[in-house]
Amino acid sequence: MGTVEDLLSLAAGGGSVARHLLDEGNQLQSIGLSPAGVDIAVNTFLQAIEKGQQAVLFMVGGPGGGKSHAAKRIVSNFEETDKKSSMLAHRVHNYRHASSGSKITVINDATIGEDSATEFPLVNDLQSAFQNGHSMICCVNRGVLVEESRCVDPQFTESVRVISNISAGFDPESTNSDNSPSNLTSYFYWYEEVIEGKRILVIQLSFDICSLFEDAIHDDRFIPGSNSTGSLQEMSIARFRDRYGSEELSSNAAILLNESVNLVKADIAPTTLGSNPIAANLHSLSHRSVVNGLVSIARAAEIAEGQRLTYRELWSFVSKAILGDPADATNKESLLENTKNPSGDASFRVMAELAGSRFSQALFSVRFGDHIAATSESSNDPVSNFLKLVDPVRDMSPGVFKPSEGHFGWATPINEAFTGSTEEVSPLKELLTLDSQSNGVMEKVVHEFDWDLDKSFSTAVSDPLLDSKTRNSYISWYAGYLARLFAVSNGIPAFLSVLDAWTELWNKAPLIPEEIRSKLLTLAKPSRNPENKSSSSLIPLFDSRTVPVIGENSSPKLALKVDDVVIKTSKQANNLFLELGTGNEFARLILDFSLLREAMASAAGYAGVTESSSLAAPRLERFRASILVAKAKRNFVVMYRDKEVEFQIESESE
Amino acid sequence: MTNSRLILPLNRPQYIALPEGFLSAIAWRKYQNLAKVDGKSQALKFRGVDSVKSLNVTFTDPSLKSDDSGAFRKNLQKYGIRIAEDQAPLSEAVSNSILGIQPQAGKTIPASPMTKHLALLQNLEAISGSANPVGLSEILEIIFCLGEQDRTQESVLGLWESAMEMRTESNILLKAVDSAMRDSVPLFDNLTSREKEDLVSIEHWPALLQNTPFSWFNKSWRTITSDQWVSTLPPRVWTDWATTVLRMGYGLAYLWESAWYVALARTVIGGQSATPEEIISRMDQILPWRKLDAGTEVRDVNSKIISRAESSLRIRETIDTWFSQQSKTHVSFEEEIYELSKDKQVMVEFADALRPMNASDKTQRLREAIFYSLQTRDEEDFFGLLAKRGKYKLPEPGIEWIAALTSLAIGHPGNKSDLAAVRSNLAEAGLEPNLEELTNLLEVAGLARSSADSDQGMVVEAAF
Repeated sequence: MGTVEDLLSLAAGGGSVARHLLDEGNQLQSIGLSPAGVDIAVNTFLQAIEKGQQAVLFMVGGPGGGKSHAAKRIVSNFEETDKKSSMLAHRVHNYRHASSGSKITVINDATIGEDSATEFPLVNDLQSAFQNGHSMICCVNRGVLVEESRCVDPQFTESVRVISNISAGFDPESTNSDNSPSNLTSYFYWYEEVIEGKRILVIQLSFDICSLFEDAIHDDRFIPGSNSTGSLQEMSIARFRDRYGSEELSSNAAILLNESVNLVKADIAPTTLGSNPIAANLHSLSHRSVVNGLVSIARAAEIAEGQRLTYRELWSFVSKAILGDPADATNKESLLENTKNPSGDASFRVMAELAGSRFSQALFSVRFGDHIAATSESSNDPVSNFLKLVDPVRDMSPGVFKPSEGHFGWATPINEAFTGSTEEVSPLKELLTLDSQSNGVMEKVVHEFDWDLDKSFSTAVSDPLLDSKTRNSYISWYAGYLARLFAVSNGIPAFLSVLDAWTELWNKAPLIPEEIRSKLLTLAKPSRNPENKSSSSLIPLFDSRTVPVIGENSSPKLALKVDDVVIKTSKQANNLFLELGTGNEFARLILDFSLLREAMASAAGYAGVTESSSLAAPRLERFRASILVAKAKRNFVVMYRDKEVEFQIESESE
Repeated sequence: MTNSRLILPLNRPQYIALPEGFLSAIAWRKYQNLAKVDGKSQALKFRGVDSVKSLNVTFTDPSLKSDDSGAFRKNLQKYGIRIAEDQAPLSEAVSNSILGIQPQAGKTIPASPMTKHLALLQNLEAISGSANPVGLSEILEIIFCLGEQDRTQESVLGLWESAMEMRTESNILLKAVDSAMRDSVPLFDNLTSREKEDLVSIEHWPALLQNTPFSWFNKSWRTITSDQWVSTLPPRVWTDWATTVLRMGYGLAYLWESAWYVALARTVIGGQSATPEEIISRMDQILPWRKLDAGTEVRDVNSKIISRAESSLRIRETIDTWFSQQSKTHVSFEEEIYELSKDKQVMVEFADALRPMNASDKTQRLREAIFYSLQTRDEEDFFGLLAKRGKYKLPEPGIEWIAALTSLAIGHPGNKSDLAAVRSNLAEAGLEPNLEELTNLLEVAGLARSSADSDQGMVVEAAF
């Protein structure tokens, strides 16, 4: 198979990706990038075995993270002792080193229960590895760890303890129980413990902590020393405004995309294809800043969704970015046939349908006729579903893009491109003119295919016979096309200002920039009269929902005056928390994209409302409810009309 | 033995028009019925209209009448509330603040039963508009006992009373309001305690009812009335959560009962051997909870519940009639089943009862009791389980329903648990939402964040 076929088979995601990537002869395999911590885990594990120490390596994460790939690397110099049919996925594989005789048991997929008679297969496997002196590699998801740690059988005490440690977290050296155990927030973690009279090295490698779309972590400088425990937590999240303008491919995702582009180019010789969307993709993606732009879009989606894409999903992303949304194509010939421009003067409809394979459309599964990306009901593609929240057309903020100056608006050139003279309509030409004035990247992005599309658009909308409804729908679609092409190439997701603020907060935690602080406070405790700076925030004392009182109230009620709320932030791996306190008591709520978006929609002391209000409201209400039971000094008031009269309670004088 | 062993010793239910009625019924369980006035039962309403001729209605809100309002204000001050401005409408503000859910066009506006005397401000006579309302508190005690594994002497009322003591100890404002209310409602001067009465015999049932809505209710009521939850939750939130436990326990117990009779009849007709455990294992899901994308008709539980309620009532009557005709005493459950299956008339009636049926008048009270307790009442009710969509009723819980049930499943305020524990607690109540949907509900309620691989291991936090 050629590179194109390899990449097509990775597009759909699913379990075949892991196996396919492990096939020898797969060109893409040569790219060989490891997620954070894999290199060090592989080395540490092998060194321990070489020294004759028994070791257990837990590789934790969901499917598609690269666990099997890493396991295969470790056993590459070992012989499989009971080789099984390669057609089926098996739970356990056993290996032996030819010279040293060391044995490794690999639990390739702990979700497969081959021996259904055992209720806790992993606990069993681990206990027998301890007893037989084997080392063990265990590829497992967190759900299995939780289930297995429920085993109470006394003969498995040691293995259950180890699994519970990995699952629920523990710190052999930590005395501070408030902090999350470091193995839950580290991508690499190890400790030693004595089991059955032997010192056993336990290593945990988490595949779901570090993003593939951030700067790759180079941990080759790190070698576990003589310490009996330790962890690697260092990770970085770039401020969004700092992601722009760099030509350096610093994330694993960017390197993978870039090298895949080169391999596909070698396979299909794009210059021979002429006006073709795939050739256009290869042209655009040959520029490193465009590659970085795509990576920024995916990273934005990760932050907005609060989840990370796995290697498997990254491959699907790469496949869509390069080969478009290949409907039925299974090989190079059918793919190129499907995307062929029938002639130099194809109609706008034909061209627009082909344009669905352009990277900026394909990533959001936008087809001709859709202005906004397909919604989750209509798209069954996990990657485009994941990206849809940050589809740039959801948030076309006006302005000229200058991220380094904090100007995140970008859509003005797109709007202007469509308001040019009607004599000769070429929005693309207008856009390029405007973009070149600010040394933009569009010159490098645009390909012969885009010019043909532009020409067919001009021809179509200049046709005096075209009815105005169709004409408007063409303009609307083409404006969306150019907006996505522009925004994705530049790495501009929807809600960029919120994403930038979130990354800023994460980097500065526990400090909060003043502008965001006032917005967060407005959200937590809006004042009764935002026009009046000295107006207090009032929470009704006995209402079912703790919605703060705004404005006058028609009937008198009791309320609690809340003025002394302090806020700070804290972070744990990828998560950011907002800590709100009254007196000495703090309530902690997760400060995610939806909560921050809600806060940033507030202006001049008035709380804002966004479509994610319903997601943020319960958390805020519970915070306010917790103020109602706080032990701090209380300021009760009777509120009526626009007045507030304080009252006190003395203890009973019956 | 006066009843068949096959009959669950649960009195016939009635719908409770206002959720506040549950806690008020428990509060009134402590006292004897109020004496009749002019031959009419006394109905206590906090606010509302005097609408039923057969009842003698007393409005208990002391701020309603201006002279009482002054007395109420004095009582509030007597119990420690110090307010500088005489103009401030203190008593009105207190009364407005303790209002419960105000149903649209409702004839009774209840007080939120946050303390003992606030709960006494209305009674079931007023809420149901009837001189002889159902013995709700007794039913709740029976459900509690049926779910009790350790045969302790505790009761729904006893646990609630200690919770209310804790409540007034920990909240001095409410303590003042409670005391002032006690002194301001003249009726409260003449309450006579009721003598403790024995509940119906429940014998072998608790052992069978482990891991059912009965045991769920027993555990959940113990949890919500525990000191930790009482002191952690704001009073109104506690009241809402406690009411949710009562509503769910009541509705789900009768759903379980319906499914029990249907499974029993099927077993007898199928001629299968039958211990009670086996019949339980053959029961249908008491509330089928299909995936959100399954389509409204598939997700609807209305027709299923109606049909099952009809069947179950007829089966129960058939067993009752058959039992009353028996001359010899049956020594065991299995023997009764065996004897039952030999009776041709019973077989015919069972077969008939198992055919799908439409709603009839006879089962109206059972149906309404189930629906009104589980269904979301109005837009201010965030604690319903079923949402009404035209003629359909769909499992679509309110956002605070999931917060309350999940937190109680976790057990202690501020604790964390995992999705598997939450699911098994819901399954005990008879609710089995699909994993993806439950995950989504928990995320929307802000109690959890899923990661790609956590499955059942997803960490879930208590809401408080």
